[in-house]
Amino acid sequence: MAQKRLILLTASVLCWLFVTPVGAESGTTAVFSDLVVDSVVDGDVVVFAADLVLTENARVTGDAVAVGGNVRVAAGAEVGRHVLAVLGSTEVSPTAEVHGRVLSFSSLARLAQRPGVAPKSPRVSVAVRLLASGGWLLVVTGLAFLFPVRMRYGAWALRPLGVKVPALGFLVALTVIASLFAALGFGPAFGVPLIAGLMALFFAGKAVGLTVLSCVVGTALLRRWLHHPLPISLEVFVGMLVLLALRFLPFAGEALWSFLTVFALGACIVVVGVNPGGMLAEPAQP
Amino acid sequence: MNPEEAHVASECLAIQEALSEHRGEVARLNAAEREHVESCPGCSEVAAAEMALGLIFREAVAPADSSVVDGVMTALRPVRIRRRVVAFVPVAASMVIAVVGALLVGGVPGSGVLSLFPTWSTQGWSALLGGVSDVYGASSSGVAAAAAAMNPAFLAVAGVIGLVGLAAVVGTARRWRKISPWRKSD
Repeated sequence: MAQKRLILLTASVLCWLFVTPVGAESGTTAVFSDLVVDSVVDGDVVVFAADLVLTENARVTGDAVAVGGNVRVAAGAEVGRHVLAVLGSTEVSPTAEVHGRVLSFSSLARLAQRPGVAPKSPRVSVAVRLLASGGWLLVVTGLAFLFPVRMRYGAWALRPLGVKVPALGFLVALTVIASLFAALGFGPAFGVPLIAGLMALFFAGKAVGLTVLSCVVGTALLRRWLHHPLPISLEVFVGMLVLLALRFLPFAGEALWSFLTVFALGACIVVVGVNPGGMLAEPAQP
Repeated sequence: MNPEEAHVASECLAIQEALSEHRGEVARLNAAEREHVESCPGCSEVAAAEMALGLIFREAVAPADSSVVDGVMTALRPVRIRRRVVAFVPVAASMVIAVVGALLVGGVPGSGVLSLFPTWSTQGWSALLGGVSDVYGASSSGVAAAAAAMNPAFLAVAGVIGLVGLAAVVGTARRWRKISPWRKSD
Protein backbone atom coordinates (compact mmCIF):
# COMPACT_ATOMS: atom_id res chain seq x y z
CA MET A 1 0.00 0.00 0.00
CA ALA A 2 2.78 2.38 0.99
CA GLN A 3 4.64 1.52 -2.22
CA LYS A 4 1.58 2.35 -4.33
CA ARG A 5 1.26 5.73 -2.67
CA LEU A 6 4.95 6.41 -3.15
CA ILE A 7 4.64 5.54 -6.85
CA LEU A 8 1.63 7.86 -7.18
CA LEU A 9 3.48 10.65 -5.43
CA THR A 10 6.61 10.21 -7.56
CA ALA A 11 4.51 10.08 -10.74
CA SER A 12 2.78 13.30 -9.73
CA VAL A 13 6.07 15.10 -9.10
CA LEU A 14 7.58 13.85 -12.37
CA CYS A 15 4.43 14.81 -14.26
CA TRP A 16 4.65 18.22 -12.67
CA LEU A 17 8.28 18.76 -13.56
CA PHE A 18 7.77 17.46 -17.10
CA VAL A 19 4.63 19.38 -17.91
CA THR A 20 5.74 22.74 -16.52
CA PRO A 21 8.38 23.54 -19.17
CA VAL A 22 6.10 22.22 -21.91
CA GLY A 23 3.28 24.46 -20.76
CA ALA A 24 5.22 27.67 -20.84
CA GLU A 25 5.55 29.80 -23.93
CA SER A 26 9.07 30.75 -24.91
CA GLY A 27 10.45 34.28 -25.41
CA THR A 28 8.68 36.26 -22.72
CA THR A 29 8.22 33.38 -20.30
CA ALA A 30 10.74 31.32 -18.38
CA VAL A 31 10.44 28.41 -15.98
CA PHE A 32 13.17 27.38 -13.53
CA SER A 33 15.72 29.66 -15.28
CA ASP A 34 16.30 33.38 -14.84
CA LEU A 35 15.07 35.65 -17.63
CA VAL A 36 17.04 38.77 -18.57
CA VAL A 37 15.13 41.25 -20.74
CA ASP A 38 17.37 43.62 -22.69
CA SER A 39 15.07 44.83 -25.49
CA VAL A 40 11.51 45.89 -26.28
CA VAL A 41 8.82 43.35 -25.36
CA ASP A 42 5.29 43.92 -26.60
CA GLY A 43 3.12 42.39 -23.86
CA ASP A 44 3.79 40.72 -20.52
CA VAL A 45 6.94 39.07 -19.19
CA VAL A 46 6.35 36.18 -16.78
CA VAL A 47 8.78 33.86 -14.99
CA PHE A 48 8.05 30.91 -12.71
CA ALA A 49 10.43 29.73 -9.97
CA ALA A 50 13.19 32.04 -11.22
CA ASP A 51 14.26 35.69 -11.21
CA LEU A 52 13.28 38.33 -13.76
CA VAL A 53 15.85 41.01 -14.59
CA LEU A 54 15.04 44.07 -16.69
CA THR A 55 18.18 45.88 -17.87
CA GLU A 56 18.45 49.58 -18.72
CA ASN A 57 17.42 48.84 -22.35
CA ALA A 58 14.29 46.88 -21.40
CA ARG A 59 10.90 48.23 -22.49
CA VAL A 60 7.97 46.03 -21.44
CA THR A 61 4.54 47.27 -22.53
CA GLY A 62 2.61 44.94 -20.21
CA ASP A 63 3.24 43.47 -16.74
CA ALA A 64 6.50 42.10 -15.35
CA VAL A 65 5.59 39.13 -13.14
CA ALA A 66 7.69 36.62 -11.18
CA VAL A 67 5.99 33.73 -9.36
CA GLY A 68 8.40 32.18 -6.86
CA GLY A 69 11.22 34.57 -7.75
CA ASN A 70 12.43 38.15 -7.60
CA VAL A 71 12.01 41.03 -10.06
CA ARG A 72 14.88 43.50 -10.53
CA VAL A 73 14.28 46.60 -12.64
CA ALA A 74 17.44 48.53 -13.54
CA ALA A 75 17.78 52.28 -13.95
CA GLY A 76 16.34 53.44 -17.28
CA ALA A 77 14.13 50.37 -17.79
CA GLU A 78 10.44 50.93 -18.50
CA VAL A 79 7.40 48.82 -17.58
CA GLY A 80 4.04 49.75 -19.10
CA ARG A 81 1.92 48.30 -16.32
CA HIS A 82 2.62 46.55 -13.00
CA VAL A 83 5.70 44.91 -11.49
CA LEU A 84 4.61 41.93 -9.39
CA ALA A 85 6.58 39.33 -7.40
CA VAL A 86 4.70 36.48 -5.72
CA LEU A 87 6.73 34.67 -3.04
CA GLY A 88 9.66 36.86 -3.97
CA SER A 89 10.82 40.45 -3.74
CA THR A 90 10.93 43.47 -6.07
CA GLU A 91 13.92 45.75 -6.46
CA VAL A 92 13.15 48.75 -8.64
CA SER A 93 15.70 51.47 -9.35
CA PRO A 94 14.45 54.97 -8.50
CA THR A 95 15.14 56.07 -12.06
CA ALA A 96 13.27 53.16 -13.64
CA GLU A 97 9.86 54.00 -15.09
CA VAL A 98 6.97 51.86 -13.88
CA HIS A 99 3.53 53.03 -14.96
CA GLY A 100 1.58 50.69 -12.66
CA ARG A 101 2.15 49.47 -9.12
CA VAL A 102 5.12 47.65 -7.69
CA LEU A 103 3.89 44.77 -5.52
CA SER A 104 5.66 42.02 -3.63
CA PHE A 105 3.81 39.21 -1.85
CA SER A 106 6.51 37.80 0.40
CA SER A 107 7.10 37.26 4.07
CA LEU A 108 8.71 40.01 6.12
CA ALA A 109 11.32 37.72 7.62
CA ARG A 110 12.42 36.46 4.20
CA LEU A 111 12.89 40.03 3.02
CA ALA A 112 14.95 40.75 6.11
CA GLN A 113 17.22 37.79 5.38
CA ARG A 114 17.70 37.90 1.61
CA PRO A 115 21.09 39.31 0.60
CA GLY A 116 20.85 42.42 -1.54
CA VAL A 117 17.26 43.06 -0.45
CA ALA A 118 17.70 43.11 3.32
CA PRO A 119 17.62 46.59 4.80
CA LYS A 120 21.04 48.09 5.42
CA SER A 121 20.13 49.58 8.79
CA PRO A 122 20.54 47.06 11.65
CA ARG A 123 17.68 48.80 13.46
CA VAL A 124 15.25 48.15 10.61
CA SER A 125 16.52 44.60 10.21
CA VAL A 126 15.96 43.89 13.92
CA ALA A 127 12.58 45.59 13.78
CA VAL A 128 11.41 43.51 10.82
CA ARG A 129 12.54 40.32 12.53
CA LEU A 130 10.79 41.34 15.75
CA LEU A 131 7.62 42.13 13.84
CA ALA A 132 7.64 38.83 11.94
CA SER A 133 8.52 36.81 15.05
CA GLY A 134 5.94 38.63 17.17
CA GLY A 135 3.28 37.97 14.57
CA TRP A 136 3.95 34.22 14.49
CA LEU A 137 4.26 34.05 18.29
CA LEU A 138 0.95 35.85 18.68
CA VAL A 139 -0.81 33.49 16.28
CA VAL A 140 0.55 30.24 17.74
CA THR A 141 0.17 31.18 21.40
CA GLY A 142 -3.32 32.48 20.63
CA LEU A 143 -4.26 29.15 19.04
CA ALA A 144 -2.80 27.25 22.01
CA PHE A 145 -4.72 29.49 24.43
CA LEU A 146 -8.02 29.02 22.59
CA PHE A 147 -7.76 25.31 21.69
CA PRO A 148 -5.49 23.73 24.33
CA VAL A 149 -6.93 20.18 24.19
CA ARG A 150 -6.87 19.94 20.41
CA MET A 151 -3.29 21.19 20.18
CA ARG A 152 -2.12 18.89 22.98
CA TYR A 153 -3.72 15.98 21.17
CA GLY A 154 -1.87 16.94 17.99
CA ALA A 155 1.44 16.95 19.87
CA TRP A 156 0.71 13.47 21.26
CA ALA A 157 -0.37 12.12 17.90
CA LEU A 158 2.88 13.16 16.19
CA ARG A 159 4.91 10.58 18.08
CA PRO A 160 3.23 7.39 16.81
CA LEU A 161 2.96 8.79 13.30
CA GLY A 162 6.61 9.88 13.11
CA VAL A 163 8.04 10.55 9.65
CA LYS A 164 4.66 9.98 8.04
CA VAL A 165 3.68 13.49 9.11
CA PRO A 166 6.24 15.40 6.98
CA ALA A 167 5.45 13.02 4.10
CA LEU A 168 1.79 13.97 4.36
CA GLY A 169 2.85 17.62 4.62
CA PHE A 170 4.76 17.27 1.36
CA LEU A 171 1.62 15.88 -0.27
CA VAL A 172 -0.42 18.81 1.09
CA ALA A 173 2.16 21.33 -0.17
CA LEU A 174 2.14 19.72 -3.61
CA THR A 175 -1.65 19.83 -3.65
CA VAL A 176 -1.69 23.50 -2.69
CA ILE A 177 0.86 24.42 -5.37
CA ALA A 178 -1.03 22.48 -8.04
CA SER A 179 -4.30 24.09 -6.94
CA LEU A 180 -2.72 27.56 -7.11
CA PHE A 181 -1.68 26.94 -10.70
CA ALA A 182 -5.09 25.47 -11.53
CA ALA A 183 -6.74 28.58 -10.08
CA LEU A 184 -4.95 30.67 -12.70
CA GLY A 185 -7.13 28.97 -15.30
CA PHE A 186 -10.24 30.58 -13.86
CA GLY A 187 -9.10 34.03 -14.97
CA PRO A 188 -8.74 37.18 -12.87
CA ALA A 189 -12.40 37.39 -11.81
CA PHE A 190 -12.43 34.02 -10.05
CA GLY A 191 -8.71 33.28 -9.96
CA VAL A 192 -7.70 36.11 -7.61
CA PRO A 193 -10.29 35.29 -4.90
CA LEU A 194 -9.51 31.57 -5.29
CA ILE A 195 -5.78 32.16 -4.92
CA ALA A 196 -6.38 34.48 -1.96
CA GLY A 197 -8.57 31.80 -0.35
CA LEU A 198 -6.00 29.07 -0.97
CA MET A 199 -3.23 31.22 0.49
CA ALA A 200 -5.39 31.99 3.53
CA LEU A 201 -5.99 28.23 3.99
CA PHE A 202 -2.28 27.57 3.57
CA PHE A 203 -1.29 30.08 6.24
CA ALA A 204 -4.05 28.91 8.59
CA GLY A 205 -2.85 25.33 8.20
CA LYS A 206 0.74 26.37 8.70
CA ALA A 207 -0.20 28.29 11.87
CA VAL A 208 -2.04 25.29 13.35
CA GLY A 209 0.82 22.93 12.45
CA LEU A 210 3.47 25.27 13.85
CA THR A 211 1.50 25.46 17.09
CA VAL A 212 1.67 21.69 17.41
CA LEU A 213 5.36 21.52 16.51
CA SER A 214 6.12 24.32 18.97
CA CYS A 215 4.22 22.42 21.63
CA VAL A 216 6.36 19.31 21.02
CA VAL A 217 9.61 21.31 21.16
CA GLY A 218 8.54 23.44 24.14
CA THR A 219 7.32 20.45 26.12
CA ALA A 220 10.56 18.55 25.49
CA LEU A 221 12.63 21.52 26.62
CA LEU A 222 10.62 22.69 29.63
CA ARG A 223 9.89 19.24 31.05
CA ARG A 224 13.61 18.58 31.10
CA TRP A 225 14.07 21.25 33.78
CA LEU A 226 10.62 21.74 35.25
CA HIS A 227 8.96 18.51 36.19
CA HIS A 228 5.43 19.79 36.68
CA PRO A 229 2.74 20.56 34.07
CA LEU A 230 2.81 24.02 32.51
CA PRO A 231 0.20 25.91 30.47
CA ILE A 232 0.37 24.80 26.84
CA SER A 233 0.61 28.42 25.70
CA LEU A 234 3.91 28.78 27.62
CA GLU A 235 5.28 25.57 26.08
CA VAL A 236 4.22 26.75 22.64
CA PHE A 237 5.83 30.17 23.26
CA VAL A 238 9.18 28.60 24.18
CA GLY A 239 8.99 26.08 21.34
CA MET A 240 8.18 28.77 18.78
CA LEU A 241 11.10 30.89 20.00
CA VAL A 242 13.39 27.94 19.25
CA LEU A 243 11.86 27.43 15.79
CA LEU A 244 12.20 31.15 15.01
CA ALA A 245 15.84 31.08 16.15
CA LEU A 246 16.40 28.24 13.66
CA ARG A 247 14.68 30.27 10.97
CA PHE A 248 17.04 33.19 11.38
CA LEU A 249 20.18 31.06 11.15
CA PRO A 250 22.47 32.64 8.53
CA PHE A 251 22.68 29.90 5.88
CA ALA A 252 20.39 26.98 6.65
CA GLY A 253 17.59 29.14 8.10
CA GLU A 254 15.36 29.36 5.03
CA ALA A 255 15.76 25.66 4.17
CA LEU A 256 14.92 24.71 7.76
CA TRP A 257 11.88 26.98 7.74
CA SER A 258 10.67 25.45 4.47
CA PHE A 259 10.99 21.97 5.99
CA LEU A 260 9.15 23.14 9.11
CA THR A 261 6.39 24.56 6.91
CA VAL A 262 5.95 21.20 5.16
CA PHE A 263 6.04 19.40 8.53
CA ALA A 264 3.49 21.88 9.92
CA LEU A 265 1.08 21.24 7.04
CA GLY A 266 1.17 17.53 7.86
CA ALA A 267 0.70 18.24 11.57
CA CYS A 268 -2.29 20.44 10.76
CA ILE A 269 -4.00 17.55 8.98
CA VAL A 270 -3.35 15.38 12.05
CA VAL A 271 -4.97 17.95 14.34
CA VAL A 272 -7.89 18.92 12.14
CA GLY A 273 -8.58 15.78 10.12
CA VAL A 274 -7.44 12.81 12.15
CA ASN A 275 -8.62 13.38 15.69
CA PRO A 276 -11.84 11.75 16.84
CA GLY A 277 -14.30 14.58 17.43
CA GLY A 278 -15.89 13.36 20.65
CA MET A 279 -12.56 12.93 22.35
CA LEU A 280 -11.49 16.49 21.72
CA ALA A 281 -14.40 18.57 22.94
CA GLU A 282 -12.84 21.74 24.36
CA PRO A 283 -13.79 22.28 27.99
CA ALA A 284 -15.99 25.25 28.82
CA GLN A 285 -13.96 28.35 29.61
CA PRO A 286 -14.28 29.72 33.13
CA MET B 1 11.68 -10.36 19.48
CA ASN B 2 11.12 -12.51 16.39
CA PRO B 3 8.58 -11.45 13.68
CA GLU B 4 5.88 -13.80 14.98
CA GLU B 5 6.19 -12.47 18.52
CA ALA B 6 6.18 -8.91 17.17
CA HIS B 7 2.97 -9.62 15.26
CA VAL B 8 1.26 -11.02 18.37
CA ALA B 9 2.40 -8.02 20.43
CA SER B 10 1.09 -5.65 17.80
CA GLU B 11 -2.25 -7.49 17.71
CA CYS B 12 -2.50 -7.34 21.52
CA LEU B 13 -1.73 -3.61 21.40
CA ALA B 14 -4.44 -2.94 18.84
CA ILE B 15 -7.01 -5.01 20.72
CA GLN B 16 -6.17 -3.41 24.07
CA GLU B 17 -6.61 0.03 22.51
CA ALA B 18 -9.97 -1.05 21.14
CA LEU B 19 -10.93 -2.36 24.59
CA SER B 20 -10.05 0.94 26.23
CA GLU B 21 -12.15 2.78 23.65
CA HIS B 22 -15.10 0.43 24.28
CA ARG B 23 -14.65 0.57 28.08
CA GLY B 24 -13.83 -3.13 28.25
CA GLU B 25 -17.00 -4.32 26.51
CA VAL B 26 -15.74 -7.41 24.70
CA ALA B 27 -19.09 -7.78 22.93
CA ARG B 28 -18.34 -4.68 20.87
CA LEU B 29 -15.25 -6.30 19.33
CA ASN B 30 -15.43 -8.37 16.16
CA ALA B 31 -15.40 -12.20 16.24
CA ALA B 32 -11.65 -12.59 15.66
CA GLU B 33 -10.82 -10.02 18.34
CA ARG B 34 -13.21 -11.68 20.83
CA GLU B 35 -11.54 -15.02 20.18
CA HIS B 36 -8.14 -13.43 20.78
CA VAL B 37 -9.28 -11.92 24.11
CA GLU B 38 -10.57 -15.29 25.28
CA SER B 39 -7.27 -17.00 24.55
CA CYS B 40 -4.89 -14.20 25.64
CA PRO B 41 -4.42 -13.71 29.40
CA GLY B 42 -2.96 -10.21 28.98
CA CYS B 43 -5.87 -8.93 26.90
CA SER B 44 -8.41 -10.63 29.21
CA GLU B 45 -6.84 -8.80 32.15
CA VAL B 46 -7.06 -5.47 30.33
CA ALA B 47 -10.69 -6.17 29.41
CA ALA B 48 -11.55 -6.89 33.03
CA ALA B 49 -9.73 -3.77 34.27
CA GLU B 50 -11.39 -1.53 31.70
CA MET B 51 -14.79 -3.03 32.52
CA ALA B 52 -14.25 -2.38 36.25
CA LEU B 53 -13.18 1.20 35.56
CA GLY B 54 -16.22 1.71 33.36
CA LEU B 55 -18.49 0.42 36.11
CA ILE B 56 -17.00 2.85 38.61
CA PHE B 57 -17.78 5.79 36.35
CA ARG B 58 -21.19 4.43 35.42
CA GLU B 59 -22.24 3.95 39.05
CA ALA B 60 -20.82 7.19 40.32
CA VAL B 61 -23.60 9.46 41.55
CA ALA B 62 -23.64 13.19 42.11
CA PRO B 63 -23.92 14.36 45.75
CA ALA B 64 -27.51 14.57 46.91
CA ASP B 65 -26.92 18.07 48.24
CA SER B 66 -26.45 20.37 45.25
CA SER B 67 -24.87 23.00 47.50
CA VAL B 68 -21.83 20.71 47.81
CA VAL B 69 -21.38 20.83 44.03
CA ASP B 70 -21.87 24.57 44.03
CA GLY B 71 -19.36 24.96 46.85
CA VAL B 72 -16.73 22.92 45.05
CA MET B 73 -17.26 24.79 41.80
CA THR B 74 -17.13 28.15 43.58
CA ALA B 75 -13.92 27.17 45.34
CA LEU B 76 -12.39 26.09 42.04
CA ARG B 77 -13.39 29.25 40.19
CA PRO B 78 -10.46 31.45 41.34
CA VAL B 79 -8.02 28.64 40.54
CA ARG B 80 -9.41 28.28 37.02
CA ILE B 81 -9.33 32.03 36.47
CA ARG B 82 -5.75 32.19 37.71
CA ARG B 83 -4.77 29.38 35.33
CA ARG B 84 -6.35 31.20 32.41
CA VAL B 85 -4.53 34.41 33.35
CA VAL B 86 -1.21 32.57 33.57
CA ALA B 87 -1.95 30.90 30.21
CA PHE B 88 -2.60 34.32 28.67
CA VAL B 89 0.79 35.74 29.72
CA PRO B 90 2.68 34.22 26.71
CA VAL B 91 0.00 35.62 24.37
CA ALA B 92 0.47 39.08 25.87
CA ALA B 93 4.27 38.76 25.63
CA SER B 94 3.94 37.86 21.94
CA MET B 95 1.76 40.89 21.40
CA VAL B 96 4.38 43.11 23.05
CA ILE B 97 7.13 41.71 20.77
CA ALA B 98 5.01 42.36 17.67
CA VAL B 99 4.12 45.90 18.78
CA VAL B 100 7.77 46.72 19.58
CA GLY B 101 8.71 45.49 16.10
CA ALA B 102 5.96 47.57 14.51
CA LEU B 103 7.05 50.66 16.43
CA LEU B 104 10.67 50.20 15.38
CA VAL B 105 9.67 49.66 11.74
CA GLY B 106 7.86 52.98 11.60
CA GLY B 107 4.95 53.20 13.93
CA VAL B 108 1.67 51.51 14.56
CA PRO B 109 -0.78 52.36 11.78
CA GLY B 110 -3.68 52.55 14.23
CA SER B 111 -2.11 55.31 16.33
CA GLY B 112 -1.39 57.40 13.24
CA VAL B 113 -4.95 56.96 12.13
CA LEU B 114 -6.34 58.04 15.48
CA SER B 115 -4.17 61.13 15.62
CA LEU B 116 -5.56 62.19 12.23
CA PHE B 117 -9.12 61.26 13.03
CA PRO B 118 -10.95 64.26 11.45
CA THR B 119 -9.08 63.82 8.17
CA TRP B 120 -9.48 60.07 8.36
CA SER B 121 -13.22 60.29 8.80
CA THR B 122 -13.64 62.16 5.54
CA GLN B 123 -10.87 60.84 3.32
CA GLY B 124 -9.18 57.91 5.06
CA TRP B 125 -11.60 55.17 4.10
CA SER B 126 -11.78 56.22 0.48
CA ALA B 127 -7.96 56.31 0.37
CA LEU B 128 -7.81 52.85 1.96
CA LEU B 129 -10.39 51.48 -0.47
CA GLY B 130 -8.44 53.05 -3.34
CA GLY B 131 -5.26 51.33 -2.16
CA VAL B 132 -6.99 47.95 -1.82
CA SER B 133 -8.56 48.41 -5.23
CA ASP B 134 -5.14 49.19 -6.74
CA VAL B 135 -3.62 46.07 -5.20
CA TYR B 136 -6.55 43.97 -6.44
CA GLY B 137 -6.19 45.46 -9.92
CA ALA B 138 -2.46 44.76 -10.02
CA SER B 139 -3.01 41.21 -8.70
CA SER B 140 -5.69 40.58 -11.34
CA SER B 141 -3.37 41.87 -14.00
CA GLY B 142 -0.57 39.60 -12.76
CA VAL B 143 -2.91 36.58 -12.66
CA ALA B 144 -4.08 37.31 -16.20
CA ALA B 145 -0.48 37.62 -17.42
CA ALA B 146 0.58 34.39 -15.69
CA ALA B 147 -2.50 32.51 -16.97
CA ALA B 148 -1.87 33.74 -20.52
CA ALA B 149 1.69 32.41 -20.33
CA MET B 150 0.52 28.92 -19.39
CA ASN B 151 -0.69 26.18 -21.68
CA PRO B 152 -4.36 25.30 -20.89
CA ALA B 153 -3.41 21.62 -20.82
CA PHE B 154 -0.91 22.37 -18.08
CA LEU B 155 -3.57 24.17 -16.04
CA ALA B 156 -5.88 21.17 -16.47
CA VAL B 157 -3.12 18.78 -15.33
CA ALA B 158 -2.50 21.04 -12.33
CA GLY B 159 -6.21 20.84 -11.50
CA VAL B 160 -6.17 17.04 -11.72
CA ILE B 161 -3.07 16.84 -9.51
CA GLY B 162 -4.76 19.16 -7.03
CA LEU B 163 -7.88 16.99 -6.89
CA VAL B 164 -5.89 13.73 -6.64
CA GLY B 165 -3.78 15.27 -3.88
CA LEU B 166 -6.87 16.38 -2.00
CA ALA B 167 -8.36 12.89 -2.25
CA ALA B 168 -5.08 11.35 -1.04
CA VAL B 169 -4.89 13.73 1.94
CA VAL B 170 -8.51 13.04 2.94
CA GLY B 171 -7.98 9.28 2.52
CA THR B 172 -4.84 9.34 4.65
CA ALA B 173 -6.53 11.37 7.37
CA ARG B 174 -9.42 8.90 7.50
CA ARG B 175 -7.03 5.95 7.73
CA TRP B 176 -5.00 7.58 10.49
CA ARG B 177 -8.09 8.04 12.62
CA LYS B 178 -7.55 4.46 13.76
CA ILE B 179 -4.16 5.29 15.30
CA SER B 180 -4.44 6.10 18.98
CA PRO B 181 -2.29 8.92 20.33
CA TRP B 182 -1.17 6.90 23.32
CA ARG B 183 0.47 4.22 21.17
CA LYS B 184 4.22 4.40 21.76
CA SER B 185 5.32 2.56 18.62
CA ASP B 186 3.56 1.78 15.35
